[in-house]
Amino acid sequence: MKCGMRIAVAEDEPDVRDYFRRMLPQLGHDVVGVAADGCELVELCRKQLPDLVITDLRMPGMDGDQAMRVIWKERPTPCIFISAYSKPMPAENGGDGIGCVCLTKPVSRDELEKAIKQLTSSHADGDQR
Amino acid sequence: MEQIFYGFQVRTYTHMSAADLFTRYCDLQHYVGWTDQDAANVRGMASVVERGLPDLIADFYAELQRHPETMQVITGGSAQIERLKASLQHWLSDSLRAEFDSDYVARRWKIGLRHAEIGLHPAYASAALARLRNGVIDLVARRGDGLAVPLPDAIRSLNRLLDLDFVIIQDAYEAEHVHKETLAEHERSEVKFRMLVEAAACLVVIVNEQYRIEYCGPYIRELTGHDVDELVGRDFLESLVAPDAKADVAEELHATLAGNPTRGREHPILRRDGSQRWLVWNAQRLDNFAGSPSVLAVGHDFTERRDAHERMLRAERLAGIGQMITGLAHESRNALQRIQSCSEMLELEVAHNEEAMRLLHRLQGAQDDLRRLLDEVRSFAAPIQLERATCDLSSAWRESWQLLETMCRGRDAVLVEQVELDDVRICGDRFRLVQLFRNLLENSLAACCDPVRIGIRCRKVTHNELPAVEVSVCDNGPGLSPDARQSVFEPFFTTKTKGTGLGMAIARQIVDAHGGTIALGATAKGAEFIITLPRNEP
Repeated sequence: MKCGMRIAVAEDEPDVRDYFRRMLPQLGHDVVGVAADGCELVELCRKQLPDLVITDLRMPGMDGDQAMRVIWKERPTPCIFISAYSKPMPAENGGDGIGCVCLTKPVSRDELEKAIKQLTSSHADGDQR
Repeated sequence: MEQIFYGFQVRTYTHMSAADLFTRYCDLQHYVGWTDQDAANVRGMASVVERGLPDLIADFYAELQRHPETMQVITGGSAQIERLKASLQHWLSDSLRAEFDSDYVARRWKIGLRHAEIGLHPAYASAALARLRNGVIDLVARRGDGLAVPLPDAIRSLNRLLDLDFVIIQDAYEAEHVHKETLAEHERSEVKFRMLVEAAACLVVIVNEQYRIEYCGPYIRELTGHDVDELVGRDFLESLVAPDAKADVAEELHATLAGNPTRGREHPILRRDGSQRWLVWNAQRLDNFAGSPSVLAVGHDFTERRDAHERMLRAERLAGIGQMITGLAHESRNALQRIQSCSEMLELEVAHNEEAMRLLHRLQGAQDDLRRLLDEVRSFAAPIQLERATCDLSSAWRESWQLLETMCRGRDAVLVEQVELDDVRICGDRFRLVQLFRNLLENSLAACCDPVRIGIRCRKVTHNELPAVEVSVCDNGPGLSPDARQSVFEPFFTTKTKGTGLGMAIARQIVDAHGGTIALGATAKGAEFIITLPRNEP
């Protein structure tokens, strides 16, 4: 709780969007906005400059991975990818020391909390798994 | 002697009996113009000729001994020559005095036969007969004054007699010569045929009407481990055909005997050790083999090709399943995420309702099971990528055992290690090896009643000539039924009421990926899996 983060979320499933919207405050964080696809996420990040992004990997239109490449070019932002694949995309993301974690669905609250902690405690450690 | 001779004659002239020969002799008598007068003339000069015979015969053999070609058939030295002189004298006297009946013809036949038997070249046989004729005529001519008939008549009669004699002798000679040549040619072609059949890398079998093996090529030994001798005379179906294929093979043999050849049929053959090889068969009827209708069957071993084909089919099938599973897993995970999300939100709503919370936890349990199931199916469908490092096998199985702690809770289950090997390290994928042992141990735990005793033994072996470790995992459960033994490594095979039936298939995948083998042991009690893993030291 000591370091509540401002988090932007992207997810095409309404149920899961609701979940983040409700659960992240329970974990002591602010949800600065919820996007339904990659384009919305890019816009959201430009407006809100979040501390952290949680995004689904596969979404209609621009997917999570493509959106993050755009976002990272503008502003290095740590990210949690959530994917339905058991082997998620390797984190060829940010590169320049931007924290990044891949989680496989279904993600529980505990796993989410652990991943956020990992990213906040090791900003400069580069890729994490 | 006569009987032996007749026997031989029958063998030589299968179409001609002694009576037939005599009939032909009579016909030939007409041909050369032989009359009773000739017979009387010949008898009339018998004593004249006989007086000169010793000189004539001495001269004949003196000449014979000057020719290497004729001498080489005389192997008994001077004693034999003396015997031959006596029989020549006997023959010529016989010709002058005998009744020209069927016995007479037979005796002449025998002379020709004998010459062919000893291997005298026909040119020399003819030359010798010509010399004899000239000698006898010369003899008569020189003593012409003592004859009862005019010399030309005497010579004509003598010529007719000798013509007929020589015709029979040469005929017999020819017949025997041809017979010997035919036999030799048979033998040569049989040798050629045998060489072909016995050198061919395929199974040649001849089966009679009772399905007994009449002939079996030596390739059988390489193919099945059986010796030819132990198979000939035995029932083909019982001794060589795999039980499942017997009915089909019997039907095909029946059809083949009825004249419908078998082409390209695939059936397994039973090896001495009980294993099978797959052969593609062609068979056809032989109208007469050793006196009765039989089936000639030729089988080509295509086991390796068949296995490769099966592996390819399995890979294709699995690739198909894999694609389907990937799609299914993806969608299921999205749905699972929604269930997870909603139940966690619900948890916030009903945090104070104990009963509702308990139900939610049960929901969570079901969801976890579903997730694990998906993981298992997916991990089977996806190709295994090993991340190799030095890995201690004993620490891998201990970790697997640890992971099964919840399954063991409240049960009397013990893992007994009997490891005499100091070094059980291999270069392998630790995560996968833990999964391998976990699947094996989990199976044992599920199959055995308390008290469960699972033994692990290790020994040093070589695999494909490389150093390897053999690990045996055995339990004190009921073991595997014959059916289960056949299919235990097949995907989706299970004896349990729960589970995907992928545990052992995945175990085999992991072992395969490590370049090793996994097989069932032959223990009478419980189940035993024997895993051989190459050390793959860097």
